[in-house]
Amino acid sequence: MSRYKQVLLDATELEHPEPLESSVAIIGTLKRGEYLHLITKRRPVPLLQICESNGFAFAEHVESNSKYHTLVATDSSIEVENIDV
Amino acid sequence: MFNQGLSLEQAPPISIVLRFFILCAFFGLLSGLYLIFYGDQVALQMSAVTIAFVHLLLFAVVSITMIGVLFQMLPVMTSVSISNALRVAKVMHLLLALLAVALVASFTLNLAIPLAISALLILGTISVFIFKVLDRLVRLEHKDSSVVGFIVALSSFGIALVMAVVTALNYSDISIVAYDVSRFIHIRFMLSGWLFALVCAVSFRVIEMFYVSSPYPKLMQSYFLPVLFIILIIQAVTATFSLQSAHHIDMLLVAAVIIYVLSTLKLLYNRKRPRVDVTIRLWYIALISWLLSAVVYSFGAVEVGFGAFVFGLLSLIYAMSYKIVPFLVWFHLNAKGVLEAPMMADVIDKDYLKLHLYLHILLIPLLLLSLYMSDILAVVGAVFMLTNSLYAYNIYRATMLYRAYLP
Repeated sequence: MSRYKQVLLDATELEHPEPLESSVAIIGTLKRGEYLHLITKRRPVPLLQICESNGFAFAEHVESNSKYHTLVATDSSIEVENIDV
Repeated sequence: MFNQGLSLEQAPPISIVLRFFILCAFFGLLSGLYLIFYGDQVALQMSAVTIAFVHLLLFAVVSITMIGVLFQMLPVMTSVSISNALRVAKVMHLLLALLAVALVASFTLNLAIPLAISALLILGTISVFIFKVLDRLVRLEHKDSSVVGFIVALSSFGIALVMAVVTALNYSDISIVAYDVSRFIHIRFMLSGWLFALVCAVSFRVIEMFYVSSPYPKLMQSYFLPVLFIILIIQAVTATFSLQSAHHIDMLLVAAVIIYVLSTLKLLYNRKRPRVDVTIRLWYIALISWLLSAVVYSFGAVEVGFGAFVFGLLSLIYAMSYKIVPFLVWFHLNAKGVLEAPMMADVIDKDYLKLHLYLHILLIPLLLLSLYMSDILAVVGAVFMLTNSLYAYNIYRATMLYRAYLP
């Protein structure tokens, strides 16, 4: 059980560009101790690029060919790579 | 868990695709103007002016834009990026724009030698790009349907351009391959091998992603475009022996278009969340145009079939532009830390998008009328100019919005 608070966004049924826009909107509102858990059908490369260029921590977990979990945190104390999905 | 190394190099500068879309609108305007001044001559089958107009549309408006889109699509869809993308794009953009004007002018004025020189220079400019990209694509370990599709499209483009030069040399009485044969091969590889295959390669990925549809059938993704390419090669070889026999193979190309259109219509119709916007309407217009094109062509109405095919291509260019541009503006701003950037739906004014769609639809009855009254082509030209002015404004507005939010 993670000690951080998860904000879940299941975007598997959302039409482009909703997953990306909603993710960034959520990231902009994350408080200390919170992280975004995004579920998509494809690897969200543009989101990862946005995270990288803005210095947000992120980690990925591939469940299957059509299910990707992406964790994003703006709080630098959260080690997203150590959070279990 | 893994954190793969990501690089923003994967996202080429936004200015590349914007400058190509603006050029597309410029040549669209020029095409409209051309119809206003030369409409009566364009209506004459196989006149020099008709061929000039066809090249204005298919090379200047469509193909150059497709090359611009490739700068954006290749890194995203295949992970192949073009080194020094901005510089290469700027040089190609300028050279191809000038050469397209030279090509169309040479056709219009019946100037054989400038025509051959323009065709040669176009081949030289684009073949460097094709070779570099093909080399990278062929070396990829994992070749999915899009990679294979790009390989087919670019190889076909190369062949089509070589045959264009051979055909142009025939105008100067230099005959490497008989004029009818080189022209026949040039047209097939340009329309089916380059433009149609490229649209298929892109659709295999974007229809599912943009419109949340099911994926294309695996069999289709794997074999459709390689088989299409083999058909084109067989047809080209046949053409060197018997043009009449090669013409019969056209029916297989027609069948390919019908298969693609029906498969895509089925995917779009069965979408999980059937939201309707301007881009999806443009996709439907394109697909129905292509279906009509295939049907009338198979009944021998070659010019009408060709016109419907080009109209479909234009619809797809507008549809893709209006998906790509808002996304890129939003994405590049967010990647630069502007998280309060306007939403993608607000990058281009919805009313102007709709107006563009209505003007585009207005072209359909006008084009049909022009089959019986060639004078109407001047009106088609005027409406096409309006459409492209609006298109240019929409892309310009998106560019200005991007600049306004830049930190």
